[in-house]
Amino acid sequence: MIPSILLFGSIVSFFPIFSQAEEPRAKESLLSLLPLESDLKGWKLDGEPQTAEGIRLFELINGGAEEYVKEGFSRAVMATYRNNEGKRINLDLYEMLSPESAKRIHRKKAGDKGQKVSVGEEAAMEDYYLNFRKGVYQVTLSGYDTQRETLEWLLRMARLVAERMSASP
Amino acid sequence: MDHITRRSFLKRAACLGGGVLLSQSPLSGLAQNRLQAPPAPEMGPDLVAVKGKDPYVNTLRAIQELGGIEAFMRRGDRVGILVNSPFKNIGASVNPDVALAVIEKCLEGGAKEIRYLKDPHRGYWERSLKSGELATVLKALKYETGDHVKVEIPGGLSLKDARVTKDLWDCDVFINISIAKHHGGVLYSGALKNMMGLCAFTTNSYFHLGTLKLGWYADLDHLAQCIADLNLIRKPDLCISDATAFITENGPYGPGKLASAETVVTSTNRVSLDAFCCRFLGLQPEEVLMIGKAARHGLGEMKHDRIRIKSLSV
Repeated sequence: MIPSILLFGSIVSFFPIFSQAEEPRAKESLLSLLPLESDLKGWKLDGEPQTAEGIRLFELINGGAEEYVKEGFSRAVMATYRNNEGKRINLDLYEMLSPESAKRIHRKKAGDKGQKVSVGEEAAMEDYYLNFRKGVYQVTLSGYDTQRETLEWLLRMARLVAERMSASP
Repeated sequence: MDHITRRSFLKRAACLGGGVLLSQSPLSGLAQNRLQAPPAPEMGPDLVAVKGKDPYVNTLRAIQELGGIEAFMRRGDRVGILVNSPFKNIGASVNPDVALAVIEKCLEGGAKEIRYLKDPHRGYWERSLKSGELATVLKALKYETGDHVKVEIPGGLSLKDARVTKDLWDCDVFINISIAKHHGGVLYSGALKNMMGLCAFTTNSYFHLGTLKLGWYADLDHLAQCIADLNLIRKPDLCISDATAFITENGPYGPGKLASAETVVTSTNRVSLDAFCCRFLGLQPEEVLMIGKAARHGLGEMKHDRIRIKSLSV
């Protein structure tokens, strides 16, 4: 097997977060972008949200991280909300290195499919999930069924998140 | 199927194999390389596919039709189950009812311990309506210790060693429970790919970046070969594939478009299982590099007409 230092070098150069020279900017906590339980009528956080920065995204979502890092990934927060009936909605929020990065990853995730909905700068609703982007952020919300109530909550939560975002860093 | 006869055969096969070595001497005696048994007419089907609305019932029946859980384990055995369940999106992880059915059968079969070899995502069991009634079953589970050991793989072409969960070597019986789903890199994620769940992150990084080409999926041939090589470390005693509902895009994590075949498939051979189940995604086994590479390692049969298949509906 190749020396681990070479492997590390490969990983470092693969990830734009390490290799791209960029002025550090003040980062607001991604947790502050999550919807408040007080706005969610019966939906509560199901456990602590998980966060990932740079290469650690692979530990969180495995091969799912590939496209994000390729397009310029910075950090992410992932939360699950649960209501009184035991239903769950997952919310994955990715901060990309630039709005252009967010636009590219959104196109990959949402494509031209789904129903266009009014959230952020661009959004599409699929059978049981919703993708939207705003500024440097790409957000995916997913449920476990296709019931109308679930889809309505996906949309409502997405709009709450979008409201909490500043348009661009 | 007589499990004692089968076990005797597997032990003899392991002596012939020698495809893997544990580098830490206290564990060396535990290494088992159970080679693929050649098909024999009296052994029944190589693979059982059960279609029906209830994944739990499908799983029980598919195990039964392959010989029953007693064909794969003895009372007092420690059972390790590797369930593809780290992803929260629907169709990206094995339906928890499938895993529950297996765990319940292992307990019925007298398992001394059931070790979950790769922890599930948070809230996984609550996705099952049966998790309440099977609470005692879940309480019996032990989860991963997080300890890894270096395993030498002399027969590997691209992967010569790997850091693998130590828990695997503490089990008498190894059950691989995968989901038939899309994978953005190797096209298909099934039983062969599921073995990566046993490895440390550094090993999996080598699978993806080991030839120093930039990109997680930049060298798919290397990735596929590493997966085939990894499968030399230990043959599962039983493989189960969940093809009830699965993502057909945006894999392995999802979310993505869902398909439903309402089928659970069991086999003792992961190459045959993957060769059969990749068709649920419209793929031919030859298109999935790791299947061919694993077959060339002698790990199993990938040609459809050479696999004894029993299909039924419940």
